[in-house]
Amino acid sequence: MKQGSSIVIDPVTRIEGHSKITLHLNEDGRVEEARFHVTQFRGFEKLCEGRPFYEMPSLMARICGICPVSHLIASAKACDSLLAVRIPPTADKLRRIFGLAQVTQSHALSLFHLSSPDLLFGMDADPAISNIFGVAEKNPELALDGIRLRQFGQRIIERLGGKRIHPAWVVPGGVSEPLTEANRDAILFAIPDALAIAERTLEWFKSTMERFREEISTFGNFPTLFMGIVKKDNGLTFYGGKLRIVDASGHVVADDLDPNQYYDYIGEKVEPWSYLKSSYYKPKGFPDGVYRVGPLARLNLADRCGTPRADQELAEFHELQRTAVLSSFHYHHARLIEILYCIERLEQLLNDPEILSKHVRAVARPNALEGVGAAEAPRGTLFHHYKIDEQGLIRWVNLIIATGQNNLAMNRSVLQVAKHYVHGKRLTPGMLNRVEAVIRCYDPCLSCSTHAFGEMPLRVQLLSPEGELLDEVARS
Amino acid sequence: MSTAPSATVAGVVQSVRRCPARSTLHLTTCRSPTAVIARSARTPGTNASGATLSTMPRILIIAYGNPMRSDDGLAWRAADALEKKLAGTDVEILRLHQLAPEHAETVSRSEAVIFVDAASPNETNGQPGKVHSSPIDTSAGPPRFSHQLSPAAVVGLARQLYGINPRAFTVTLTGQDFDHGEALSPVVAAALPALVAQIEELVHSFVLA
Repeated sequence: MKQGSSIVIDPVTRIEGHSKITLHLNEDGRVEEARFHVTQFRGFEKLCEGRPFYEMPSLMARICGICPVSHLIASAKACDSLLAVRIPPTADKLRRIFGLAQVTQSHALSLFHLSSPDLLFGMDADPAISNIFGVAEKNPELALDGIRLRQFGQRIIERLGGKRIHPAWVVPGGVSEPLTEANRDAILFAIPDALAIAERTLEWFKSTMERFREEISTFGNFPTLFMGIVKKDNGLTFYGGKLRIVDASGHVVADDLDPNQYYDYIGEKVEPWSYLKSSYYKPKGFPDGVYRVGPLARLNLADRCGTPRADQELAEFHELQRTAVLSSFHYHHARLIEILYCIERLEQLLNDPEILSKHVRAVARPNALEGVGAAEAPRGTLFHHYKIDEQGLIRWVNLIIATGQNNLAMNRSVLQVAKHYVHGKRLTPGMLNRVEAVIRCYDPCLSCSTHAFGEMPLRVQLLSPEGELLDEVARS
Repeated sequence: MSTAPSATVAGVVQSVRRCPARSTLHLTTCRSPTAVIARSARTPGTNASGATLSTMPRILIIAYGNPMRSDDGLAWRAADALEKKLAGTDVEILRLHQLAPEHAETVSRSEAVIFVDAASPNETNGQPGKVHSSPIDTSAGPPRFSHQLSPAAVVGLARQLYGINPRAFTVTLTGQDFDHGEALSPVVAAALPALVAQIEELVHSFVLA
């Protein structure tokens, strides 16, 4: 490796979406700078302008194939604001069930399919076996559990929404169909198995943590703020509540914030080397206002989960550090606790005496020209902000996606890991896998997260087959 | 071949239709995203409490591809035709965007499975409209990437995880146009009946076996 040069990891594997990582080395072969580049651009904020607002949930669901339900919910909530309605209580519960099922299957995908190879084989394993097939070979039970848990969540979505991906069931004002008794019973029937999987996976994960002491201390282990939506009593939630921010010491920085006024607290910055915007906490400015969202943040913010087993695990999780739990490696642990919570909470909601009510939608015309919907997606807080005209056509959209809010932290994490593990004079696959693995901790959803804010900076280069720059066009 | 929206791990769009004569329910397809129909419970399956598992049909046809990328959607078109022809038989048809590890479980519950897909002209020496059928060979071992699983990978995973080794075939039709669009190219549209006939022949061979 030539000194004073760069290492490019392209593509970053076992994540959702397309990205690359560049590591810039000094003359001694030590990493001086690292960047996480998101190389895909979606532009949903612009392409839905002019569409009727009631199309937005279905349009927005197509941002993603893994977490469409989160976009459905946030979008529908924004539309609820435009209608100025309060949805029926049963619709509220059904949307929550929908969201919990999605969190379960999304978290299962992240852990079992994407990260379990690293946890099972170690970070230095042969890439040829560091995949779901290698896991199936070495630990078939783990692979089976992953498939079953993912199917558990997907089947709930299918039963409620009619299909596993991009279901159109969540609509402005509520949901389009009530839950049938047969579907409720079928979902309840599947819960014991799912709980058993969650429990034994959590135990398995905790048994592996001792092997990753060095990774725990170097994978995104630095102070940041943590932000998320919690219930009024500071309980864990995915549907709605108040916005809360704690610092690395665990002290509350801001509380009782209205998620619908997110723009008062959250700023966004565009960097020239990535299509992913970087969010920051405005009172602290950029980049000091770096914060993290998602499972790690939610468990740092929540005082309780509200379900018995998850509460026990949360108490144990809070013991990992006297301060907020800082290492991004613990995202995996937090994810598993959230799976446990989701399944327990699903059972509670499905046993609600009103869950089969036929009254599941409020109907109204638009009564406001601006609406915001916020929810906790699997990867963190999600904001949908719409403005419409008098005809109900979309005129402006802003989306703040969870992964974008972790962008600053992800970049710092990549730099931290690269500085610790990568030496330009002697490269090993394990070094580079660790750089990728820290990104996997965040479980980024890159396809979800890259949209325009104003006009995107764009540079197009025309290169000859030999790499010579022939022409260049740029828009700042 | 699948040209689904790219992502290292993408979601799959799944739609299930039973052959109408045996249907007790339908799920929405990609073509009618607003229709939602409640699903009746099947015979309870075995869970931690001890009931028996629901069963899949004897023969499973998995038609996969992206119906918004012209010829890449030909398998879905074949599925439309097969539903009518195979009504009343013990055949289930799934429409998917792409194959995922979860489909190993689906495959494991059938005695025979037929994967239907578009093939690239590069794979078949540039002969759009050519139908090709072959048994699935899992001896090559698992792929290095789980981004897009092959039928062999799915069947291999079914064998590895569930101890089930269903008879498995792929039937492909070489496409010509994989650009954005919902229409088939003329050469593929003309060859579609031959594709459907090949699949029917396989189904009958499974039934007689």
